[in-house]
Amino acid sequence: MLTLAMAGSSAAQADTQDDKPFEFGVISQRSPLLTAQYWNPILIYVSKISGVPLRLRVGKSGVETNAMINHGTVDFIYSNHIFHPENDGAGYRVIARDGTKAISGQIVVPKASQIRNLKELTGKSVAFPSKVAFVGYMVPILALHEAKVEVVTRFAGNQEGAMGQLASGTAEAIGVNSEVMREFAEREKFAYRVIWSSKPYLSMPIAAKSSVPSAAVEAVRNALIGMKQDPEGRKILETCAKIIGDKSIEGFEPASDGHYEEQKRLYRLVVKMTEKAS
Amino acid sequence: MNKGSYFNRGKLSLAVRLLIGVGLVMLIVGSLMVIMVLRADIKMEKEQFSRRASEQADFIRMSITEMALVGDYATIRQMLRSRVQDEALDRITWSDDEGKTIKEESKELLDTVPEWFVQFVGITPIIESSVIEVGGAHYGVVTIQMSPTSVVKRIYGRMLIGIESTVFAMVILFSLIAIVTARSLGPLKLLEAAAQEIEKGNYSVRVTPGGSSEVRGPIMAFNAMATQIEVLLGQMRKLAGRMEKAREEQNKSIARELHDSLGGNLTMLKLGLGRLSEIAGEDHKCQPKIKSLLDLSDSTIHLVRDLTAALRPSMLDSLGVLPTIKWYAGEFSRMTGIECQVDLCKDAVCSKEHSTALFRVVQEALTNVARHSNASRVFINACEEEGKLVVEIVDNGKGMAEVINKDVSNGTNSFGIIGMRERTQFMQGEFDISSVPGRGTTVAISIPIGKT
Repeated sequence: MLTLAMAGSSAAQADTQDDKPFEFGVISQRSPLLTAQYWNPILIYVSKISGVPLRLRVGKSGVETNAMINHGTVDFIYSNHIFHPENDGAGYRVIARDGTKAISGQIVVPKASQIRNLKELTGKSVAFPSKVAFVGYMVPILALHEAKVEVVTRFAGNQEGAMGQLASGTAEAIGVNSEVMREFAEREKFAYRVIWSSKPYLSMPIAAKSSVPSAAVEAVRNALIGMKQDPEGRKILETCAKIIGDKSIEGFEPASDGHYEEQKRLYRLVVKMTEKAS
Repeated sequence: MNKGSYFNRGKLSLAVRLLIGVGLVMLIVGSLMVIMVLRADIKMEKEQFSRRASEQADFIRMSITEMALVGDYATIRQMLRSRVQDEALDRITWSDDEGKTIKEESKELLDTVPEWFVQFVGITPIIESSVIEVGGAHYGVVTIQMSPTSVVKRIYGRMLIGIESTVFAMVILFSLIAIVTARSLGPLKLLEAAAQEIEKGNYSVRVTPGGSSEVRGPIMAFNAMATQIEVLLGQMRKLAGRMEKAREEQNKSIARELHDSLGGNLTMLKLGLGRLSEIAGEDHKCQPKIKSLLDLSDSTIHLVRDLTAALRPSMLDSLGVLPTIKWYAGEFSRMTGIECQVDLCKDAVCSKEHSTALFRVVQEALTNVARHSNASRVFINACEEEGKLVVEIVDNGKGMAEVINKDVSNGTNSFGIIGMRERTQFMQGEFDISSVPGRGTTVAISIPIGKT
């Protein structure tokens, strides 16, 4: 398979081994194809600017992405799953984040649905992306638990999988990432209604594995953060945004582990809650 | 068989020639149709084959892209294995950008179409490649190899069906044409047979009009022509009969005059010369002259008697035809030196007209024997059979190379035979003459008895 190696910064290039690309994992919020269409141009750009060859890795589902993190098979990762307690030993640290200001967890129904609030979801079929999704599962399932609403849970593999179940009527409601849901609805002309929304959370982090040379990590981080300011990078971001139906060009922002303490806390809370329930 | 008969010319009948012509035209048209349809079919299949190769490559590329992204090689293998079962695909390869094969699936295709047809169709295998590219990153190349075997097989099958259908249609059409032709032209066979009957002298034959209008017209014209011929022949025979009767009457009158006047005068002259001899006395010097005149009188009287008999034997009227024939046979033998045996029935009686005509036929037959046959013996047989008097004159002469057995002379000078035939027909009888070169000639006359 073609590597994304490009000529670039000599310092970062020196840290690579035999031009073997670094694996850049991306959580499957959408279909793998759409995910690759969105991320490959970005990674090609970052590889060129940073001199660090990157190769996209996409899991078939959130569970698979979580397994990639857990087993440390990816060098960089774009996912909240690094905050799951079971991935504590994986050794990832946040180096940047998605430029989107904030994301929320939501529970949504089709616009024509009779369901108006969480209580009316009792006994209904509710789909989630996966058991390890943050705003797609952890946040909404906690809300349902606190509202003492028992639902029949389904897992669709990724965000758009759950949206597909909602659109087809397989699920009566779904737990989603507010941004992914908005993009999906615009792209697919799907009308929906939010019956519950969480407080805003910081957007999805990009983390690097501790084993990746710091020069390479820094080069990648700088390339990502500087992308929005670079005309070439901005153009790529515009093109990619159109692919998923997003109109805003947010790019990437600097971030660190400290910005995600709330996510870590929530993950632990839900895991404990689930363990207690089982 | 008569030389130069119209009806024996041409080896193939009109119907056969028509059917052969139609069959050839149908064969050519059918073949051209099959070839044209085949060419159009090949052109269409070629275009489809090429387009399908591109579609297949694109479809497989799209199908495995997502699996390639997530590294699901097992599913890719299953998918390739499933896709390669397509009748037109015999190899699918997924390779990296350096050409290294990642996955490959293939199958063997059995070629059941004749090699010449494969060459004729001229569709060659297609190798089509499609690069898997997502967001600017490459995930290898899908290469498919499409074999034209199934396409050629399909074209071959359709060609066979086309040929079968065309042959079937041709057989049906040909059969219909054959039936219509046979029904339309069938009466022509009857017309031909009737014409042959006319050729043999049977002018009473007619053909019932049938078949197509084109054939009915000639049949009706033929019937009208036969009727006209029959009428003309009847008139001709009546005329010949009258002429014959007039001639016989004239002969009879001349014979009577010869017998009564000249014969009487000669007898008186002979009697006068006898008296003159008695008066002159035996020793008179005029006796030798008188005797000479008496001898001349006798020979002239004999000559008159022979002439009278030749013009019309008086015994025809007194004794009838058969004794006259017997008498004439004796005279014939005496005068020609040809031995003549006669075997006649005794009680056959003919009318006066028929007696004369029959006698004249026998007389002409014997004259021909004397003139042409070089025969040493002739046999005359007359007997009654089933109400008919049958007379045969058989000689042992040199015979004839060609026998005229028709009413009309075929350009030869056989007026004697024509006369015999005409006389026989006047008697409403049948005339036949047969001969084998070197083995004599037989003339047979058959006339009804009792009809006058």
